[in-house]
Order: sequence, then C-alpha cells, then structure tokens
Amino acid sequence: MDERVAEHVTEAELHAYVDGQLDTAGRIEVEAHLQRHPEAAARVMAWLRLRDELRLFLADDEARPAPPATVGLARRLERRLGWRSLGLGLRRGLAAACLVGAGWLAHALLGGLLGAPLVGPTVAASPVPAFVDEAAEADHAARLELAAGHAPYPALMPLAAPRTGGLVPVPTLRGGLRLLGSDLVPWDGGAAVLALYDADGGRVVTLFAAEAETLGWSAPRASPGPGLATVFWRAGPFAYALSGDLPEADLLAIAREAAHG
Amino acid sequence: MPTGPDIRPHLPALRRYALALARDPDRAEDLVQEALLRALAGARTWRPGRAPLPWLLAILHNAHVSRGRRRALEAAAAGEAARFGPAAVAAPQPERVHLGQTVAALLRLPEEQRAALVLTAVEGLSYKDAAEVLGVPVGTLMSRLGRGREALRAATGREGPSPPERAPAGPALRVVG
Repeated sequence: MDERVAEHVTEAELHAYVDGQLDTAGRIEVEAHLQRHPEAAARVMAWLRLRDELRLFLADDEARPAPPATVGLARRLERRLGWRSLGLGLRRGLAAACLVGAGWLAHALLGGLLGAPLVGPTVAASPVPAFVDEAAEADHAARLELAAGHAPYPALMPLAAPRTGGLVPVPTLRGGLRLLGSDLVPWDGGAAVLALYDADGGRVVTLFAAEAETLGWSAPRASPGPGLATVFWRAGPFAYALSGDLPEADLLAIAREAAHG
Repeated sequence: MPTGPDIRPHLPALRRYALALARDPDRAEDLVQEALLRALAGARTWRPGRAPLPWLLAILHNAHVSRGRRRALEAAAAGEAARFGPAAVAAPQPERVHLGQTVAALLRLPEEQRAALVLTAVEGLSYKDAAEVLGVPVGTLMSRLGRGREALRAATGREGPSPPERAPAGPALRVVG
C-alpha cells in the first residue's frame, strides 16, 4: 500500500466511500487508509451499519403496498411521458390544425414518429391569447388518450379537486353535455384543469379552465384557427376555452351561458 | 401505444423519500400523489431520455417545501415520530427494535440532513443527482450528509470515536471484527 497517498484521505472521502461515490482507485485508497487507522475504520463501519439499517427498515415495501390511487397516477404519468417521448403534444397549435377527417390520429402518430412538423408555421400574429394554444394542446392530448382507449379519470377528480378545484371554478355546462372526467394539465400560469364532456353521438367537448397571470374580462368569442371549433373567454383571474366537434354557434351558446351562469 | 419511461418501479423510492420528509404514512402518500399530479401537469419539463427518478424526487421535494406546507407538516408531525419508534414495529425481535430506533433517530434529524441521508445513503443517488433534487451545491449536500450521519451515530449511541479522531483505537476495533 502506498502510505503517502493514503494519508490524504479526508472526512468527505470517507463519506463518499460509504455512499459508493468513489471509483475503484478511490476505494483502494480509502481502504488502505482504513487499514492503518482503526478509529476511522470503526466510524466507517458504524456508518455502513446505520445505512444498512435504514435501507432495511425503509425498504420494507411489502409492509405498505402503494394504494391504487397512487399506482393509477403513476400509470397515467407513464402514458403522458410516453406521448412526450413520441414528440406529440409539444407543438402548440397542432391540435387545432390536424384534427381534420377520420385519419387524424394516424396522421398525428406518423407525423410525430417521423419528427416532421404536421403544420406550417402559424399564420400571422393573431389576437388569440396564449392560453388558447395551451388549451388546444391539452385538448389534443386528451383526445389522443381517448382514441387510444383510455377512459378519462373521474377518479382523478377528488384528488385534483382540493388542488385546483378551489382555485379554478369549473362552470356547469348545459347543452346536453355529460361530464366524462377531468385532468390536471400543463399550464405555465398556475393551476389548470381540462374537463371532458360527451355530447351526443360520441362527440367530445373539452373545457380548459386555468388561472391566468393577469386580470381580464372578455365575452366568449371564436378562435379563428382551422380544425376543431374553439371559443374562449376570460372571467377576472380565470381563463376558459371550450373546444369540440360541435358547430361553432353551439359552442358559443354554451359558453355564453357558462360565462354568465 | 407510446413507450415512455417506467414510473411504477420508482414508486417505492418516491414513497420512502416522502415518508422521510413527511414522517407520517398518510401525509407521505398524499405527498407522493401530489408529486405525481404535479409531474402530470409539468410533463413538459421532463426531457425524453432523462432518468425519471431524480426528476420526480425533485418535484416531490418542491411539493413538500412549497406553499408553506413545510412548516405546517413539521408542526403536525412533531409528535408522530414516535409512531416509527420501537412500539410501531410489528415483531418485537431485538433486530427490529434496533432498526426502529435508528429510523426514529433519522426522523428526529433536521430535515435538510434527513433528506440528504435518504437520497444518498438509502436511495443510492449520486451526490450530483441528490444535490440537484435538493437544489443545493454538491458541497452543501456533502456537509449536510456528514453532519447528519454523525448526528445519527451519536443519537443511536453507536460505538466509535467522534470525527476528530481522538478516541482510543482499541475498543473501537471490536466493531470492525
């Protein structure tokens, strides 16, 4: 053993040794040091033993299996990150542009896999606020989930409610819409919820409800983009966007009622 | 079907870290669920190809710290550390009691030391990953780790001298053997 090298072993290196952070050369150096410094060796042994005890006790997972709600959320996150791995749900405005015709899902998946943008750059600068893009993205992701056979999660409601329900009021929608479920969705400005509704004949309507960064009021109006009809409005600190396979006039009527209701 | 990273195999690590932070099984579960919800809502902050565990641990850590919940949890959980003491251990075998004492000592450590110990010593994260989870420099992590580990050793009355190496070597050697 090389005594000169071993003398340079520091307290930090001893900890790094216990935590498995050293390479082979580092471990050899520390072990040589420990051989000649029994008091240091005793301390390291005590640390190792404490570490193993903590691992044994905390790793007793059979004693407390994860409840179904936790596992369900983990499964959901796997799918969400899976979509992300495919590169879907990233391009803003994608949803509004590509949901044309029956082959939209195949198109979307193929386009995502090939890494090719499905739509050209957005037309000119529009007066449509940014949250409408976010809503379109959330709407798009939700439709992909539905198309892949994953039902929305009413079970998520009680979990999400205390965290967003109190922050973002979700209005009751009329017009024969039936709530399918809801989800927390990406939103830079704070909490956001996407509620999914079933209109007749398998048509799906989504309501994006978010905390906005600014105060603002505006009556429902239609987004000029192609694709799914979308109407949006502001109500003080909150922003809403309603999208779906319904005539724009119907969405506007539902939105107006919700905005005033 | 998209193929993303597996999350479910990481649940035990998330739940252990949550337990170490919250010090109460129910609050820990709630913390894990909040972290998963936050991860769902912030999925775009995950970079494909990046290991999901450090990302999730950081979200969980932030969830714990944010919104002033931390203080509330500390106060509420102050009396709960005892639940992890020997009394809460199922089988009263000497080894289990010993483990319970060690964990009870861990749960009495200051939170920053507790978090550093669990991330590195229990979960085996690299110093770099653990420092990122906690949002501190690696040097800060290492000093918390050092203080935490020594405090744990002192609290559990383990044999061995104190860090400034002054105790006689003789009796300490028996531990090694």
